[in-house]
Amino acid sequence: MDDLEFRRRVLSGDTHSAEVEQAAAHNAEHQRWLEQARTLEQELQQVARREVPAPLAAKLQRIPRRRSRLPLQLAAVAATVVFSLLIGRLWLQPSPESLPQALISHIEAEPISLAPHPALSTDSVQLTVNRLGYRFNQPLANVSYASICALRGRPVVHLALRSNGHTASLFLMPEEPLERQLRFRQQLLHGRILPLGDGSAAVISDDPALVEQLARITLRQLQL
Amino acid sequence: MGILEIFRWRSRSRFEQLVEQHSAPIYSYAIWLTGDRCRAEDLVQEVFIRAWQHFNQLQEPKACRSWLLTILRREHLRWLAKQANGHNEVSLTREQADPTTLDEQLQRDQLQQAILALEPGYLEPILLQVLGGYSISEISGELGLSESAVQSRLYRARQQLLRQLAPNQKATRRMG
Repeated sequence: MDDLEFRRRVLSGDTHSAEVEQAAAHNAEHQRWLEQARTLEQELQQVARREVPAPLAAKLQRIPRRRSRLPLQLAAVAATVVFSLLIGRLWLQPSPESLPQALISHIEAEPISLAPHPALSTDSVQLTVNRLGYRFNQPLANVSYASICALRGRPVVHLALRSNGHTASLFLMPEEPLERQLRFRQQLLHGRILPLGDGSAAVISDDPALVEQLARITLRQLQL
Repeated sequence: MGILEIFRWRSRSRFEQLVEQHSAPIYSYAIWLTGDRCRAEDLVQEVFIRAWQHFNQLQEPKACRSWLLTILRREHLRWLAKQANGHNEVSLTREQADPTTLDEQLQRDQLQQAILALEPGYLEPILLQVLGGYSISEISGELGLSESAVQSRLYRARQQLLRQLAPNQKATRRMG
């Protein structure tokens, strides 16, 4: 292997093949090149690799919670068919009781959303809601947290807003259809879930007035 | 515990392993690709949500990283297509694993800047190789380029890195 070919191989990342090692074994210059190329590779590995932030790692681990999508075995398919025949269409819809619980659990599992962050820019909020096909006609004020999260294994927009010392969580859930609006109260939190296009939106806060206000704003300012 | 519960538990356990094993390279790739930490986090979540939704198709452990990276690239391209004004507003912050010395910090910063300065088209092949462990042939398949083009881009990318690194860098002390 001539010098040019050796350099070409080494600089395209081939630092461990038998041919390259053989070419380096009898040539001190090649050997030195190879060692230096390996050092560069190590440095590239170290610099390119980033640690996953802990909140993101926790979110990723929570994705399978609840509504699992399993590798469906034949028995499970058969069981589902029998189940749906027996129980009927109603049971195939998300249970009205389980969605509030999933929302509350999600907020509890993501306390960072309630932390008093400074307000995000409207562009940043718009960018996040756009990810799932939503858009605000007028900017939503005082949004301190905006993220795409997994709720029952489905992507949702999760926003947190602050107003008069209270925090409200707003979820835009394109894959959670709902026939009728639903109000609930659990663990000192008030919530309202509204049908929204093919999906739904949920507002949750410890302040019932804020829930109503944010629900109104969401219906008025959100474009699907 | 019923049969479904057992399947569910096993699937979750396998998914947790998948996250543990691949989240760092996928996140790293996303952050270099987007140049934006928030965007990278969103992207990684979308990738793993999709991975969970299609988990039953992910039976071959060796194919997992390739599958995840393909989803990542596809989602990123879809996002770019939606953004009329393009991207590449690289605002990558310095957030390296704790280097032991100031000298190492300096070297890493220089290498990071050199990577960010790579010409378009050179970054992805080198990321696929360094973070994804792809061979030249696999990069060729992923990016739709000939193997010789991939080899050439990898070669030129490293040449660019070496040119841009300061002469006191460890790897470039004598190579340049």
